[in-house]
Amino acid sequence: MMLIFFFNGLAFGGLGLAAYLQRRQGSDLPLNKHLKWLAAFGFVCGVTSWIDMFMTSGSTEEYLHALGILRMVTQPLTGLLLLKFGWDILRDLPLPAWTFFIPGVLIVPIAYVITYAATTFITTSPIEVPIDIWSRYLLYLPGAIMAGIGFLRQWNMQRKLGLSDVANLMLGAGLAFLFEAFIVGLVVPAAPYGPASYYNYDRVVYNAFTGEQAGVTGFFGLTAWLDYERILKVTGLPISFWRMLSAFAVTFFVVRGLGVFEATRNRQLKALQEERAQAQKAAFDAQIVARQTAEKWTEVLVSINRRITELEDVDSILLYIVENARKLLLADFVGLALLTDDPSCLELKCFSNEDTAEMVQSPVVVETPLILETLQAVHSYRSSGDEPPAMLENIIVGLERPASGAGIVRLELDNRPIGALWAARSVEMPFTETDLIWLECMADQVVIAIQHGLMTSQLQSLSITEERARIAREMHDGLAQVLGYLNLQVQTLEALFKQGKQEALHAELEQMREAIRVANADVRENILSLRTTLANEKGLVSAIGEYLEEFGIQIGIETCFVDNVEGELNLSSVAEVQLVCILQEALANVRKHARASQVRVLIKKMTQKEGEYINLQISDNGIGFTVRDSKRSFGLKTMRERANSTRGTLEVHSVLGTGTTIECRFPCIEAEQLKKGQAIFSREGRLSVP
Amino acid sequence: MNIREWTLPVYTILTQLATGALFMLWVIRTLSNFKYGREEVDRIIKIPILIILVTVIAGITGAHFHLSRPYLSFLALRNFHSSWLSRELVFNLGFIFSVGCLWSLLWFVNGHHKLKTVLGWVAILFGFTTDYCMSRVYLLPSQPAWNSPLTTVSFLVTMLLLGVMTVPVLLIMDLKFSKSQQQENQSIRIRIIQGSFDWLAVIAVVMAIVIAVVNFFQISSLRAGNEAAQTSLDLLLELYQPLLIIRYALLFVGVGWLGFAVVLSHSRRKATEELMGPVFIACLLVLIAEILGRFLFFAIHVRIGI
Repeated sequence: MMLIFFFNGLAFGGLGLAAYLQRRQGSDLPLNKHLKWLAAFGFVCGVTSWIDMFMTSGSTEEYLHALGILRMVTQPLTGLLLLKFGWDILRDLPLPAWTFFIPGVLIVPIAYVITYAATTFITTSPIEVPIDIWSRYLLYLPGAIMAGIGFLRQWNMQRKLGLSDVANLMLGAGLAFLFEAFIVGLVVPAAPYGPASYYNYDRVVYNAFTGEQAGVTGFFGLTAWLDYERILKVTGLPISFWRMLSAFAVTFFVVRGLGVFEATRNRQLKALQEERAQAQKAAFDAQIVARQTAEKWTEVLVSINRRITELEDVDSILLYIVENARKLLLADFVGLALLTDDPSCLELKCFSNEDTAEMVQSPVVVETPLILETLQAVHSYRSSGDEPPAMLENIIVGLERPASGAGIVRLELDNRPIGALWAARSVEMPFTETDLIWLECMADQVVIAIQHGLMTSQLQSLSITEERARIAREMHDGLAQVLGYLNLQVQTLEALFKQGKQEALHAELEQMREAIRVANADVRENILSLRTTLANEKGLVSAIGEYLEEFGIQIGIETCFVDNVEGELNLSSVAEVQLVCILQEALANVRKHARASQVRVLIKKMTQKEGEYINLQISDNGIGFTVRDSKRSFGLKTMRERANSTRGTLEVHSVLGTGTTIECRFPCIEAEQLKKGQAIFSREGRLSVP
Repeated sequence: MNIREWTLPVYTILTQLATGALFMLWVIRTLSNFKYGREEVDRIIKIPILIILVTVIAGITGAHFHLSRPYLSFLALRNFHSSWLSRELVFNLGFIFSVGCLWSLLWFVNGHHKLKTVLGWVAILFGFTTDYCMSRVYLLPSQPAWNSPLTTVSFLVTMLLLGVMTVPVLLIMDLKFSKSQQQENQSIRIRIIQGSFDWLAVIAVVMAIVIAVVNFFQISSLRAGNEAAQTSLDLLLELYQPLLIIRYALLFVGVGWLGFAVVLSHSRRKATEELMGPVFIACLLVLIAEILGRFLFFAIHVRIGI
């Protein structure tokens, strides 16, 4: 028996030690909080078992008495600690709602049992007996049952989490505690009261208080199994042995079950590793997406810049910007509005939605308060998602769908607002800071395109001024000098006439006639130049043909015009101007210097790796000149500069006595780009040249 | 007293607890109807009424274990004209029936507030009558320890005290459940509980004092009584003295604990549903005290003659 108590105490002591060490390791599992009670229970239970061992060993009466008193303290304390642990572990996982009524249901039975237990303390039975019995009934039994159910709930939870090995140990611990509840909590020593007086009825059948015979009753006959002696008779083993077995079972399963902490740590570590791998992959994917997005944006920005530098039509550039901004921002609508002459009036210039991207033909005034406020504000606007829906009303122009988010950027030129560019989404996907930055980039491109448009317009204006200066110079160098010369000649003629020198008079008249003929040719050429405009409806090629024909008639030179262009020229408006200027300059040189009888103009479209370009050749059969000497020629230099200004080239080939060929090339712009829109400056003077 | 005899305290205490709880609940309902609306209040008291019904059924079921042949218990109903026990059982059945009808109306029928109100008061009347008949059963000339009007008074006071102590437990338990179910009318529940806490605690203190006074008079009357009464007194003050002391200690500690819960409620340091612990402990202590009191009531009886 001593050995049984020894091993019993050893088992519970081991349980307490394991729980204590596990608690010291720490864990964020809720179960860890309850381990202190399990540890305390194990230690105190072990001490109680060893007290039993010492009491069994036999000793002096005083010693036994002291041990008995100590046991009267440790036994209920064991039950209390188990009750606390069981209660805590039971509530470790959330309980179903119906369990709120359990206290209400149990309050009366609990009160009755406690009352009944209280009454037994006044019987003649030794005090340690009711302490033993009621410690088991009132503390150990409910504590072990709750601990058992608590471990079974842990088993269920671990099973759901997929930790089947730990779950099985929890199941074992739960069943071990239920077995402990039966063996330790329900099987009590024989006593003259309580359930024991019934299931031990064959030995205790008297009234505990009065000593009267209460009569034999088999009311709880089956509970005879809860008798110490019956268990000994049936199993051949004392109750202490079964209690030791139960202690080993509880200790084994609970100590092994504490592996849940290690398993949880491993699981958390694995989850963290997986989380980190996922985060790395997500970051990598995000980087790729960001890089792809940036590449797309960069590509679009480069394309916009190329179109701007190619002096493409401003409207087509603006359309390109809004359409690409909508696509890249995954927006449902992107609009561009510009201020009119009235600074308070904002008119929609162009827009893009999922169906179309187009310039607005008839004026549409933008009155959305949010856009107007952003126009006056310093910073761009980005919806946060908390705005009232009314705030984003009418921000998607022309569509019935309400916007759920928007980004608005104002356009600034020389620190003055000139309009707004905005994007809107009808789906629940808010604009990010990055989206807004990209929209601001697009707004910058809009402003640059407009600036370039203004500069192109200015350039055209300068070309006109330059042309006027050239004509003035021509008149000064040609007609004015001829007229001056004629004035002198008239005076000479008058003198010769008075002197009667007929022969000299005739010679002077001949010289005057030649001077007048030259002046007439100059004037006619200038008139022809002035008449040849690009605004004519026939197009550039026809204009060149007509010009050349008239040039031949006026100058008396045989002309030949070869048009090898199929379809459109696809030249920018500036390039067309420069082409005409170069042609006129070249033909003027032919007239003045080449002494040619024939001039041939060839225009054709050619394709190279870089793209299409227009080739213009002006050839004559005149006296030619040395190209090296011609490098200082002002006229040729100007022609070259004109060609270079539109990214074109100009080459001069001349052989003395054979003739001269001037060949210039102008790059074409893409046909698709050319089709879109008309010049912003050509309509209604909304943006006028300063 | 053997275990089988414990069914008597079970029955008497449970019946008194149920009657007292229903009475207090109905008073609260009457006071709250004007403030919060009948529909809301009736929805709140549905579950407490169900628990009261279960309690009174458990009480009469427990009483059967006192009988040697429980299946013949219906024979006790035949002597209504002459037996207080028979009357007690009849009125108790009426109490159960009326509480059952009341619960059915509250759970399954909307409206009919007057009918519900009347039925509630009828059930309470049945309960009080049962309690009165129950006390009259024990007014036997052969049992000097019982044969006094103080027995009736003590039964009535116990009924009220247990009702006062039980109603907060029922209401807070129902509040916790409603919160877990995320029901809408929690604020009304909380206001009803907080509004009734004060006067329930005052009644509890008064009832505890009345119980002590009644007990004092019982002891005095036993002291002045015959030999059997003297024997009963000796049993009470000698053998059962520790239980008597424990009984009053638990009674006043329990009532004090309810007062502590009231203080906690006023200080708002705890949410109302968190008062379940103090209120439950207070109710448990008073219940133990009253069961002990009933145990002593049965334990000290000494029959005169055969």
